[in-house]
Amino acid sequence: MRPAQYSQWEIEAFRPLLGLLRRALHTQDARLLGRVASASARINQRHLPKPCFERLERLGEELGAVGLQVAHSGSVIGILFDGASPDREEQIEEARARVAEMGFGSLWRFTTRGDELLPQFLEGSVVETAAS
Amino acid sequence: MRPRQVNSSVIEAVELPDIVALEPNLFGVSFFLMKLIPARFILDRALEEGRLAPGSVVIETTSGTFGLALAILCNLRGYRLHLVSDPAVDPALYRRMVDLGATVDIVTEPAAVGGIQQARLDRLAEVRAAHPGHFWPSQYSNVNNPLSYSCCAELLVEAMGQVDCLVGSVGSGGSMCGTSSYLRMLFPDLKVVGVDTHGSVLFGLPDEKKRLLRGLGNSLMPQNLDHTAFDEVHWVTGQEAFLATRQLHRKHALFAGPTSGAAYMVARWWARENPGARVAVLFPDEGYRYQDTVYDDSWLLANGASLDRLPDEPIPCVHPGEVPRCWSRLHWERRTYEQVLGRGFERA
Repeated sequence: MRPAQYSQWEIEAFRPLLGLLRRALHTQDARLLGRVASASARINQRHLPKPCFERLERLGEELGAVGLQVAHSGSVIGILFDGASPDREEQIEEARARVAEMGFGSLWRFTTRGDELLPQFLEGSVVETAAS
Repeated sequence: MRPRQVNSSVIEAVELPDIVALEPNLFGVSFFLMKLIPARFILDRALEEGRLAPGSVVIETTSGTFGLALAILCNLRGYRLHLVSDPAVDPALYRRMVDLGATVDIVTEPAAVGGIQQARLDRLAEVRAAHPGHFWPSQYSNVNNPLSYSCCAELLVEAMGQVDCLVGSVGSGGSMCGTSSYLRMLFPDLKVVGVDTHGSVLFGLPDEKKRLLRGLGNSLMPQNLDHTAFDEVHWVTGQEAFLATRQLHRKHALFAGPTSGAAYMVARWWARENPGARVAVLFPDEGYRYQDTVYDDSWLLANGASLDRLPDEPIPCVHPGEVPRCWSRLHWERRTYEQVLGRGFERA
């Protein structure tokens, strides 16, 4: 796989991404974190496009997700939800059902709890990672 | 918290703005000298590309603060700066740039066709021809001008979080088009409000050579102006901008130049109309340069620039052709110049 050839604008654009990331971490604001992830994902769409990106983006908006995250060097894509949202479980259950219909190889759920990252196996048997 | 640090130069110390809360949803982005950002970025890229070395000649045409920013940078970095300017450059600015080592070439005779602007361009061409191997920053067309504002967008979002509206004056298009391009990546619904003045061609008004309000607007169309960035355009007169500049000083002790006053008047109104939105307004320079003009009541009176009170709101317009000579507003709606005016323009 050829490394992404970022434009000058994209290279500069990572500065404000980092600025808002620091803000999101400092204020523990999942919504702002989602903005950073989505913006980064949209930049990546110009280099290693994810085939279902637009559909997942619309699905996320419909379900009240805070954003999308994608692997910039692989085939993983994720929908981010605010863990503090009261509707979290319904949102995630709906997303799981709708994403399963799209034919992904496998489906995982990750939950942050403090600094722990807890993977939870949902469906399928193989996690697709770096494609090349 | 990051540890406090010594700055390696005055550039690093003053390049980034301070963000000041003016009202619950209005944030002033106050620069010492905003043009340091594009000037440094443009020179850095040129250095990387091998187009600059100590002793290099830098040539630019400007009568404003971009020249001062270049003079500061060229002084610290050991470049020889040659500025082609016109009588609009005030004596204090002239002396400061000369003190920093710049050659400031004031063109006084208008060209037979094209006036003083054309005479400046003619002189620029002569100076450039006389210095082979020079570097020309060309702020109106250099793509590194808008690109440079990533540091400004970074600071804005880190300090403010959500930004719903960006208000600022437009001259080269660099600060507003550059900053908003980065902010919209994070906040696609961001409203961008440009502030221009009567007699400037930027958003379709007829050119007037003698504009009272300097430092925003333009007689020529800069390549760096992307009209489709703007949701709204406001036109502000010199009189209104000067009074708003004084109000910014009287109410918030923010000592800024008249382009800041123009932007403040528009942003204050916009923020009150949209109380749920978080509004950032760019203040491009400090007030010292204007102490004998905008900050001097007798100068204001003598120059017909005195005003008792500001309009409560702008006059709404649907076409640049109907803009009256007072604070006015047009829903530009991210259209091209051709879409709004029904005709094209000649680029500078």
